[in-house]
Amino acid sequence: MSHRAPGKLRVGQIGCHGVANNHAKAHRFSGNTQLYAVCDINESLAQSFAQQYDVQHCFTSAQQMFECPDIDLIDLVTPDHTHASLAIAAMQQGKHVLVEKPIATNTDDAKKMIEVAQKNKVQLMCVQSMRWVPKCQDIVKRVHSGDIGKPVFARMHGGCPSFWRPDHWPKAASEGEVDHLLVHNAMHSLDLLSWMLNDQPQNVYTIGHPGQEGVPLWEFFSINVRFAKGAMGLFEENRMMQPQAYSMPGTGLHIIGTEGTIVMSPSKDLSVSLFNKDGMHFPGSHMYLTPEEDNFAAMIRELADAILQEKPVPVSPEFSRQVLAGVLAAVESFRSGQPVEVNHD
Amino acid sequence: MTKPIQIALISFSHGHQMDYGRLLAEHPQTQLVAVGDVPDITEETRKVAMDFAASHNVPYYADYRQMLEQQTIDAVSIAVSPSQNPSVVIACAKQGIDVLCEKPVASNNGSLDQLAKAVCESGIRFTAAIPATVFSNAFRPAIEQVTQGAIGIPHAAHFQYLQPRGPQYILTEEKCASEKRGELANFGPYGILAMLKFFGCNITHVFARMDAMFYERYKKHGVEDMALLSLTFEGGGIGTLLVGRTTTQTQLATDCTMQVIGSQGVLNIEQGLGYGYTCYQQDQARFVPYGMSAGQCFVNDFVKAIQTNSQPTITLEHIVNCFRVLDACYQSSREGRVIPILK
Repeated sequence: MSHRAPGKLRVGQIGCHGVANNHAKAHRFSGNTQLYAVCDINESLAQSFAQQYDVQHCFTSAQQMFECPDIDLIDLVTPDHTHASLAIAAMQQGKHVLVEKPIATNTDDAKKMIEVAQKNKVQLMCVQSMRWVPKCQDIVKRVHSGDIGKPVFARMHGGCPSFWRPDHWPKAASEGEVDHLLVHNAMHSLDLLSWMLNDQPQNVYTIGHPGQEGVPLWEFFSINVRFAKGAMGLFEENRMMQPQAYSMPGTGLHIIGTEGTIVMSPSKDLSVSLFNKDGMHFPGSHMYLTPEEDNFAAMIRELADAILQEKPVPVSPEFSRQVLAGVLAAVESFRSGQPVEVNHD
Repeated sequence: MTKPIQIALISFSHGHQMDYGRLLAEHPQTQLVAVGDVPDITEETRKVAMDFAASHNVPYYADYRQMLEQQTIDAVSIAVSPSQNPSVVIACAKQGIDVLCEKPVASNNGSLDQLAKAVCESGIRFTAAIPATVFSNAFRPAIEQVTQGAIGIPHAAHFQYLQPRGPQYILTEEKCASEKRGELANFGPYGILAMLKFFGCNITHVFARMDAMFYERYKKHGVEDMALLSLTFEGGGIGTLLVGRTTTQTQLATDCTMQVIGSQGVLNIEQGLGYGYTCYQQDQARFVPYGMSAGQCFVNDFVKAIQTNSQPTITLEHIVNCFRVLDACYQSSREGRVIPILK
């Protein structure tokens, strides 16, 4: 067994594709985690990933990684349908788990994951990295402190991210899952709105557009939400390719309360405007982050703190399960063409 | 020199008569000949009409029907209540008088059908006061660009019209109780019309949520001060609309924005009421456009249609479509389901 740095969790990361890089970089800068091992069924990918991030141990079997006594936290960056089974197996070996969104592909699996976490006295958290974008944190702090009165409407929107290419997710497309974008990505938007409103979705209605001809996945969804406490919400999942000149690839937020409004523009500087009874305020912009301030690093730091100090994790898995229920209802609505009540059981 | 268009104004029950009606009456190619009224209006409203007639040195008629009989009139501006609009429009259409009508032009589908039939049979030019967006300095060129293919085929759009000016401009207790329709009926047509123009086709399905979020008076009567719509268009385009009457604290100036995502580009309208400046004062904001106001463009368009014997930009078809969509939105909100739009 190698030397264990004090106050640092040893992490075993499963999955070395795409967003796995964000996770690996975040462990470098979190301050309280150490990427100790990586795992991928593709051995050469796992080895090159381990080399890139200077990781000592490399696995091709998740089970072998779970059995490694030196690992404290499993970071799951695998396809959606594997989240539940891998997380449960890891927790049964006494590992804490951070799982990429969505927490699972159905709410029953998510419920089982929560039960296994409780039974094995380990922590489970779903990646909701948008919550650690500094502007989002600033906005939610203002909303929760009553700066805009009671929030009655929230919208999240944005242009197509620059990394997107239509040949992404070819597997989902080949399986005929045309609403894969909704299934896979709406967890971010709905989690953020639910968190800001401190509420859960109650009823959802989804419309969509297939986008470009020849792209097998639908590229645009708009979800109209009624929250349990009465607020209305709207969010978009957008992968329609945009001209390069279009300079609004970021996330936009618009929250209206009974006594004020907060707007975060999706333009490059992510400027924020607050209108309320005290006048207009323009909190400073904070777009360009240092690696230590990166939202993934901040999220992992806070999770690791919770584990080390035996406190509740910052995003409860039950909250993520409720959001998943909303997302699944949005998918059902898209398929049925009618609004759908969210089943929170 | 061509003879000026003979204009009459019918009622000042809606405040817009002082905007569009006045602009029409004072247009260089028109001549105001009379001001008329409908029965059962308040003394206060009657006085506004009488004062306007006196200040323009034209006769005032307590009953507009008498005015139609006695005066030679080419066109009228009507600003009566929605339930009274159809009968007044029909009376004008029977005499071949062109009509500029305050929105909403009717209070139910049945009376709208009667109005549309009378307008079609008479061949008059008919338009409705929904100018805020399509005639603004921002929307006019944007619609032209999109229509000419600047962003390819429109796929998705979002429109937002949030006007504060509460509580002084909110619906009266009487209107809340009698009309049972709030700010969606008021502001929704601006967005629906803009959507129809951008997409260039009709709406096929609507889903709507609406509520009284800000004002006790609206809550008491079950009237909405905010509404969120999801729309589907012929050909598969989709759109969302957020409209409402927020509080003054929420925002000082009207927040009118629109985004259209097309197959080859994106169009953003960030100040939908046009290029101009907004003057923020203690408890109100006043928008001052550069160049011509939307209202002036709207009235000019109506005058030009009369002079050139052509259709105005906002046609009967647009108005009927807007009305049908609005009606379906209220039904959707009541029943909690998607409503198809009847052709």
